[in-house]
Amino acid sequence: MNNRIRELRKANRLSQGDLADIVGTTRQTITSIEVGKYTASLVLAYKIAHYFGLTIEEVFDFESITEE
Amino acid sequence: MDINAEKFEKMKKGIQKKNSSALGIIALANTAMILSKRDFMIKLYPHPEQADFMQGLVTGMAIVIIFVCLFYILRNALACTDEKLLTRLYNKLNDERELEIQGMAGKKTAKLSPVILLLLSLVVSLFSFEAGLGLIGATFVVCIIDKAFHIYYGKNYTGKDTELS
Repeated sequence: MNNRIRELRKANRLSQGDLADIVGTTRQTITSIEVGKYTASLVLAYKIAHYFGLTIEEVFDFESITEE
Repeated sequence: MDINAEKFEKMKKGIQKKNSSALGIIALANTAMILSKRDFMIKLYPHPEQADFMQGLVTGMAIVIIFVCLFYILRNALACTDEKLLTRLYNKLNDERELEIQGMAGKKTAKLSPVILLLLSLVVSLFSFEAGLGLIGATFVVCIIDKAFHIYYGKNYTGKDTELS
């Protein structure tokens, strides 16, 4: 699933490790989510979006799912 | 990065539970090592070479297990003194992706192990009938454990699985 996490992270000068620590996951999981290899759970997606002050739909691109 | 004191304590307790488990495993490993050297255990084996082999195997395994447990205890103790280390360790142990990977690996192992054990038992029984029977017994044990966990989690799974639970 496409997302804006990398863009948001860089805008906030956060490393993947920093973001992982904040939302309660590992750097490897953040990497996998950013490159679209792993789809975050609802709870994790919410934590990430909430940290950046955005909604889940503003961070994650659900168009690819609705097209399936 | 700030985490409040309550969250820090919760993480510490979770990690300290792991240390208790590790200490229990060390105690068991020590017990196994001591028992393997007792005369009554050695006399149970029909041949002295078998007793020597099993004694060496148990001692070697116990030493490895003890060292691994000590490593985890030290790592956890160090993490409990540093907020960032503790957060990273706690997140690693509760990471959803890691838990999903463990679940998938466990599922495949549970499916494949009985097949491999059965095939092995057929081959091994040509050389040792008792060993072949032992492997068939192990096959049943794996299947029963798998089924038991299916039933347990079917009734109790809430969608939240953590390494620390």
